[in-house]
Amino acid sequence: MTEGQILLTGRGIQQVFGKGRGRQIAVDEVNIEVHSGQCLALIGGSGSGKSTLMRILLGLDKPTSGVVTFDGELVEGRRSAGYQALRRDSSLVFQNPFTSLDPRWTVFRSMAEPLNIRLGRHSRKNSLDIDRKTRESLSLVGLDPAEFLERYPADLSGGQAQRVAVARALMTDPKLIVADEPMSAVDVVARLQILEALAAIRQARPETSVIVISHDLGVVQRIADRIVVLHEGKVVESGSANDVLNRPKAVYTRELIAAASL
Amino acid sequence: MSVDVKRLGVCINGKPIVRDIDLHISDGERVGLIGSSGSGKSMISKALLGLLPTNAQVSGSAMVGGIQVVEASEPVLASLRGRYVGTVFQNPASSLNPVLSVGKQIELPLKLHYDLDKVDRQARVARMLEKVGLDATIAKKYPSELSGGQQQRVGIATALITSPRLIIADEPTTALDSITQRRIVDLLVELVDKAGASMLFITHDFSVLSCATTRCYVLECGQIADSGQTAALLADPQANSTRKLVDAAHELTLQRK
Repeated sequence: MTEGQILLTGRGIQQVFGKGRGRQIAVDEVNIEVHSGQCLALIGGSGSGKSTLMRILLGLDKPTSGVVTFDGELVEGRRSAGYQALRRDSSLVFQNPFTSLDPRWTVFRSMAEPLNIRLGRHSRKNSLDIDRKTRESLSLVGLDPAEFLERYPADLSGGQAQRVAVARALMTDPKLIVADEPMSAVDVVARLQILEALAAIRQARPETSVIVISHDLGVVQRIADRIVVLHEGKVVESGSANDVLNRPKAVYTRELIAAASL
Repeated sequence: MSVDVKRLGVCINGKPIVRDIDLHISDGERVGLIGSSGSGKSMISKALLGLLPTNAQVSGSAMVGGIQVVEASEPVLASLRGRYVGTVFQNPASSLNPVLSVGKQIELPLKLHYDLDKVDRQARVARMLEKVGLDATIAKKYPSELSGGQQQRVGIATALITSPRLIIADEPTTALDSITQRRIVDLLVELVDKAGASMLFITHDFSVLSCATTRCYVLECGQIADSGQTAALLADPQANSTRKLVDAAHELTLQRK
């Protein structure tokens, strides 16, 4: 694969919580970069620092030290150009679709909301655009708009609900989609459907970058171009998915591989 | 302890959730119940424990040991749950009492269901902690101070402290990361086998099931769709519902060149 331009970087990221005896280094000197069009899997067990790192990369938390850039701009505080670009051009998919979708809203309303906020629904043209986009996104993740647009989250299975969340993430044409453990709250059959949805998005939108956060190498093997393995806040291994899965160097990576094999 | 379920059905507000369930677990056997979300797995485990919601109507028969749990009185069920059946739940963070120290937590079933003095109880708790691979100092800690894996070890210790004859484990590893998952399954299997107890292991994931059980039932839409030796079903699935789950497990298993 030819490498696209660098979209997101983190340099020397460190995050320290607490002081004195309770001092804990959650993320330790992490360097990371995501190119456009790339799918990067951030892998690690519970407590490895995955989510802390993700919050920093998205500009939601300020690191103790280190620098984040997005699309060439510095992400530093809510007024920085990098932060504003991140908010505009990135979307999130959370672990549990049922807590990230509003239970009182139809699929259509949840999906349309990001664009309603951005464009406003006052003009007829905007509203037609939003309708069209909602249908396109839903079809892309393998859900029939005619069947699903007017449903409520309670009438969806876990896999369907998570695919709605993925479709919603597409509505703003983001340059970056970040999915935090998108497959761990659903059953194995639904996991496959979500993987297929992500693969379809990458095919339809080859410029879009994806970061998938997971603890399971088996789950990301089909979609990741690069894998970064995080353990106790440190990057213990990183490289092409092929290299990391077939020629792992770190002991921890080997343990993860053993755990993901049948 | 053996379990014998015959034509078990559960309706909630008139809507059938599980139907015509026939399921057997022999003494000392580890049996799996597998199905996707919403197939009714947990409803069956709740029926066996007498923990169904009050608006549920149960039909058929479910013998746990020598006790008919369908329509058994609450004191009978409480004694069954306390002394003979241990349950390990999916999410240890919500199944443990947050304001009880780990030691007190594990000791509680002994206190409620057995007539033992404090010294004896605490000695048993200490031995149990060792068995589940936790340091003795953890007894003084609270659930929030533990990792997910440690919490689930405490959950297992609490379930096993009364030396139950049947363990019901309802998705005990789903909330854990993949390495911890494997260790917890191995631990559970080892302890259950050592104690000579039976186990009903509930999951949606065939790869976990193949480590935990020898025989299993496949549940789809509230009915048993298939059953057999776990290894045989995994190697050569015949029924559609089984194939769907097995294919997914294979797809999500790491393929290395």
